[in-house]
Amino acid sequence: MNDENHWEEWFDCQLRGELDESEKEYLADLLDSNPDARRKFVEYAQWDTEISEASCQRAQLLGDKESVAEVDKTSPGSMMLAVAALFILTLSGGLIYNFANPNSWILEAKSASYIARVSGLSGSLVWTGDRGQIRRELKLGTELAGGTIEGLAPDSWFELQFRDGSTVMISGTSLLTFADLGQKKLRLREGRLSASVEPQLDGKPMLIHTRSAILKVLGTRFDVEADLASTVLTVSEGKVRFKRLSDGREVDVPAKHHVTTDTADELTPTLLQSSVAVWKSQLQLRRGGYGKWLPATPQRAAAQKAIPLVPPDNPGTTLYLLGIPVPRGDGPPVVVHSDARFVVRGRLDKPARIYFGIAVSDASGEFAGKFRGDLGSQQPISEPNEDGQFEVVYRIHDFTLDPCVRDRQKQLAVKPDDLVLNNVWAFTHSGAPSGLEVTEVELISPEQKIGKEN
Amino acid sequence: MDSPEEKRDRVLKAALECRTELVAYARSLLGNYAAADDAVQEAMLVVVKKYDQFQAGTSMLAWCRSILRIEVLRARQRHQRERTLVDCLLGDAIDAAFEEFQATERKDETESWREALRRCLKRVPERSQAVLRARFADELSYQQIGERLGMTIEAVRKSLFRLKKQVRTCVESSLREAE
Repeated sequence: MNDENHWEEWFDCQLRGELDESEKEYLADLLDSNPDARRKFVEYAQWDTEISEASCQRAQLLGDKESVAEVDKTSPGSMMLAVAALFILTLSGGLIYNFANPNSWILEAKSASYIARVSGLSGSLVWTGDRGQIRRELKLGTELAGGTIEGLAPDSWFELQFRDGSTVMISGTSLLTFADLGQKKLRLREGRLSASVEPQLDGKPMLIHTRSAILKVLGTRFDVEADLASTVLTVSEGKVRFKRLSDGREVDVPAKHHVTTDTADELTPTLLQSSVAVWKSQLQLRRGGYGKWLPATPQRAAAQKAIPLVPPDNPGTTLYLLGIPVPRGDGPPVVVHSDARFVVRGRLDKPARIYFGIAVSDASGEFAGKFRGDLGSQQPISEPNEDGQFEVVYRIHDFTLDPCVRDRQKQLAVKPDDLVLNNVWAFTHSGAPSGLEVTEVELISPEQKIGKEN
Repeated sequence: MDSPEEKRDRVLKAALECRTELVAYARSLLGNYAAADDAVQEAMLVVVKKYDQFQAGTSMLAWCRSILRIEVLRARQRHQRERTLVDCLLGDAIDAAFEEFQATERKDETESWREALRRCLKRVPERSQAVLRARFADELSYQQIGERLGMTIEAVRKSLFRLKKQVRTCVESSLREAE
């Protein structure tokens, strides 16, 4: 294969990882010594990639066409098929037009190539389509053709329903990329994802990539939490294959078990522990989710500091917001009971009203609602003491559904009672920076006394 | 003066317009389409975070390639593929080739070229389309394609090369006609 007529074969093999060591050496020499070979290699790689992408799109279109034919068996066969195919191809042509006209992104979403529909959302979100459209004004029912969705605040929440009925949901500050070219592929860069997956085609499981693991899902319900260092998988129903990338070890995680990449030993699924009713944030051990983490010093406790957020639906407002996740990986689920209380401690530069909210899920990991502890009865202004410290107590009994999810209240819980705590957040809205820092959030049982009560 | 968000959106949009070029580059180094696609996605996330480091007036493609190069190395580490000296030499040679010869086409030219490609692929006979799909969409080896379609390895190889040539000729002639 070592004359000019066979260069394309060498190039083709390199693009597909099919060269052995001596062939690679030959190709390296060829590219080093021959500018014409370098130019042709780049052209070939470009051309081959174009044709690969066009073939993938065409394969998907044909898949759509076949499904149209299957549904409409009574129609006059070939004519109907031709019309359906023409319709699909015309819409697909619209995609190109829409790319050149980013404002018409909704038309793109209406094309036959959409893969999923927004079935629930709240809070600050940004969607970036594969073709570069960037939108902050997502709506319920919007059809998306793949891309990346980013939750910008701890109270952000987003649910996506694929065409087969499978749903995935991200909450908090999460970053998820999704695609479906015959096989659903998701990449959870960071944050928390729950999913309820319909049975997938043989050999085409849903794949979820994180930085440290790959999950293969055939049809089940589960919850994944990923950050830079680790991935934690909790399976509620069915079974998920979990692969740790650092050593290539794989394990099947059955229902009611969880597994984490963050162990030096064997990858072993652990039976979910029974729940606990008390919890304390440990900001001295781990940074919070949203805001600026201030590590402990000899003079002061570790804290999560609120940072400014301008809500997209209310650009004239600046909130000072922080969030703290409740990790699933290192302990039993934290269940909120109706008679429990949250105690929030921290620092303020000046008196301010502190708004406080929580996000909860049901036992299977499915989103169950966002609730606010400051709405039921008017929250008083918190007065910091001479050291700038404050303590506020919120009774679960007073928590009400967050207004931002009220349009979905029929699908959500009425109260957070007996649900699993996912994360908490706090913010001030006083027209100026408040210096809000939270040093500790504690969920306590009715028997426990707090500082003021001792 | 752009707000930071507007600048971020503009940089990301320009970066995404180079996506196919970047996949071509990553495939050349990784030898796998899916891994290349993943690396490009990772690189796009870095672009979102580092958008303010892009200097207006410089090449977006070159900037993205430098980010992607790091993601390609990470992808190799993740898959625990030990890099031999030959791998390093070949990687450097490929890198140099792309630096020297890869350029971004004008967007309108790229779109008409891709539209022509789509039209030409539609004209390929059904049997040949199955070969193209098996190779490009399903990423099967010559042997696997042969088994699926009842062909010898040599027949698959010849068929693919002939088809690619036909499609390319078709694209070039339809673009000439359009002019």
